[in-house]
Amino acid sequence: MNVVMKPVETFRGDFTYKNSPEAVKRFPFPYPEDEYMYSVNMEMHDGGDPGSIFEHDFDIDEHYLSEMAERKLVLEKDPRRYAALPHMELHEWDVLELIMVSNARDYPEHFSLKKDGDNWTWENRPLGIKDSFVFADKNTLPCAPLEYIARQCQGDLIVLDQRENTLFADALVATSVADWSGNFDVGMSFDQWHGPVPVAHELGVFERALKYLLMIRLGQPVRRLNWTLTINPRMDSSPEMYHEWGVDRSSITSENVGQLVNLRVELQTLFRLPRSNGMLFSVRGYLANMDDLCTNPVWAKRLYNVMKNLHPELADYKGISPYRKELVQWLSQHA
Amino acid sequence: MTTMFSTPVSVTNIEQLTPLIKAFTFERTDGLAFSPFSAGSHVVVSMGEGHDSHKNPYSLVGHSEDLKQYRIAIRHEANGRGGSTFMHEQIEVGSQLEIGSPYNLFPLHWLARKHLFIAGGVGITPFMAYIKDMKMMHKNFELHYAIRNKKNGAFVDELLRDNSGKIFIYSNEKHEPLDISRLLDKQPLGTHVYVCGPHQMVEDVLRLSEQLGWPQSAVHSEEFTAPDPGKSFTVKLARSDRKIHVSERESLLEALERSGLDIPYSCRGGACGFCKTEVISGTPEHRDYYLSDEEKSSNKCMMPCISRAKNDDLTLDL
Repeated sequence: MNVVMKPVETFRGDFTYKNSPEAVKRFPFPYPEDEYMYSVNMEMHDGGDPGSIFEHDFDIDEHYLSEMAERKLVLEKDPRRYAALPHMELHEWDVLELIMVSNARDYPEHFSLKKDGDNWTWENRPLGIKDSFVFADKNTLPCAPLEYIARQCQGDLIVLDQRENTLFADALVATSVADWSGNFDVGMSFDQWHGPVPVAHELGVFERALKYLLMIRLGQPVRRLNWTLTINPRMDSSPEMYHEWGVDRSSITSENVGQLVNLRVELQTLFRLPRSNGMLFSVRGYLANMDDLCTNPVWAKRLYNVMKNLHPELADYKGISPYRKELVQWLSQHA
Repeated sequence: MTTMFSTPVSVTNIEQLTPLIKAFTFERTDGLAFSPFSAGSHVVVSMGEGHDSHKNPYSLVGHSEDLKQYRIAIRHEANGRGGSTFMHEQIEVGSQLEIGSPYNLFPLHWLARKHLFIAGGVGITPFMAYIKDMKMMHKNFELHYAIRNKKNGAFVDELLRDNSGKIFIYSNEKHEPLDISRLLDKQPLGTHVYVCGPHQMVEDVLRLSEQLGWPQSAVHSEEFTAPDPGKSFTVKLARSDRKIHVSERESLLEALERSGLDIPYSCRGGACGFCKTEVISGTPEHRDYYLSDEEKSSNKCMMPCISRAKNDDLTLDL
C-alpha cells in the first residue's frame, strides 16, 4: 500500500498533530482484556495484514514528515539525545543496514539503496536526501550512523549489546520518550533500566523476558505493545523537558478529556543485529486522543473498564493518577 | 518458540585444506544473498536421509563480499557419529543441503581493550571470521594458533600472507610450543581471551587464566561437543501417549525428531537453551551447560540434545 504522508504538523506549542480516520482505524489498540496487567506479551514480528502497523519490519505512516521534523528539532536543541559508548560502532552500522535494507524493500516508492561492495548510495525521496558513503567508515557520513538513520525513521532506536548473559543499552537515539532519559540510561543493563517498574518484578516477568530476549535469532524479530497516557499529542515527554509538560497533568477537566488525553501506544520490536550480535530495540510511538479512539464503540467501552480497574501502582507509575477520576468519569458515557 | 528456519543450499566449492579438513562453500539455491553474520556464529547443517541423517553445528569461516556464499570447514572425525564422515565422503560440488540461520554462542566481547585469540587445530575456524571484523573495526587483537605441522594446519598459507604482525603460528613439528601461561601472564589490563581448540587446550586456558586472576567474564571458550553415546533407553511422551526408543548412538533429540516431533534447537551440544523440554516424571541424566544446578536437581526440565536417561522411567511433556 502506498503511504500518503501529510504535511508537517507539530507535537508541541500549538499541537497541530491530527490523525486521519484511516490512521485511527489502524491504531494499535493495546488492551486484549478489560483489566490490564504486565505479562511477557511478546510475539513474532513476522508481518501482519496489509496496511496494518505490523505489515513491515518498520512501520511508516502519514506522520512521517512531522515526526522527522520533530526529531530534527529535539536533536538540534539537545544533541545528547544521541548517546553511544565507543564499543558500539559496528552495532550502529548494523542498525543503519537493517533499516535501509528493510525500508528500501518495503517502501520502494520512497527509499532506495544501491550497494557496490562497501560503496553504498541511499536515497530518501520524502526528505530529499541522496547520499553516497562507505559502509563501516563513519567519516563518510555527516553524523554517526545511528543518528543518521534515526533522523530518517519513525520511533526511537535503542541499541543493545549482549554480553555476560544480559543486555546493555549502550547506544540510542531517544527524542520521543515517555518519561525516561536516554542520556541518563545509556550503558545500563536490562535489570538496571527496568528497576523502577512496579509490580512486574514480583510477577517474575523480567526474568522470563530476558531469557527469551537473549535467544532471539537472526531474521526472527519479536514485538510487544506497551502503552501510557500523555496530555496533548506530545512526542517528547522526557525528564529533560518535564518543566514544559509536567504541569499539563493538572489541567484536565471533564470538558477537555476527549481532546487533551492521548493514548500513547508503543510498538516495541527487537531485532538481532547480524554483524555485532547485538540487538535493536525499536520503540515506535502512536498517539491518538480519546475523542478519536472513542469513535470505535468497542474501544471506548474497553478503555473505560481498563482505566477504572487499573492497579493504583501502575496508575501512579504511568502518571495517570492526578486526572484518573476525570478520565474515568468522561469514559463512563461509553460504558 | 518457533519452528526452525532452514535454507536450502547447494555446495559450490570444496577445498581439501589439510589431509583431514575440508572447506565447503555454500550458495542459496534460490540465488538470494545470505545475511551477514557475527564472528563466532555457527550454522547447523542438515544432511542425509533416514538412518544416515545428521544435523551438526559448524562455525562459519566467512562469507563472500556480495554475501552470495558462506564457507565452513569440517575436520573428519573417523570415530565420530557420522556427520563429518558424511560431509567428507558423500558431499560433492552440486550436492544439496539445508542450513539453519546463524546463531552465536561465541561472540566477541566488544568492551575488550584487546582481543587475544588462542586456536588449536580445526578450532581456527571461528577466528578466521573474528580477524576480518577486527581489521574492519580497527581493533587491537592477536591470534596465537597451534598446529601439529604445516601440512595439518588449516588456513596456514592464508594466515602467513597476513602482514599485520598480529598473527603467531606455533608448529609442534618445529618444536615451537605455545606457552599459554606465559602468553596470558603478559597481557595488558582489559584483555579478553578467546579459545577454541582441543579439549586439553580449552581446559588449560580456563585453568591458567583462573590461576592468574583473570576475571571470569574476560575468558571465552568454545568447544563443539557432540553428544556422547550412552546406554539405550525408552522414553514416554505424555501428550501424544507414545513410547520412543533411544538407541546407544543417537541423542534423545534425534530420537524425538525421528518420531516426527519438531523441537527447536540450535547448538545441539547443550549450550544454547533452545531445546529445553519439560519433564513430567523420572530422572534425566543431565549433561548440558545451560541449565542451572537448581534446575538440574529439580528434574523438571532437560536438554534432550545432549542429556539422556539412565533407565526407562522418564516421561516428557511432549
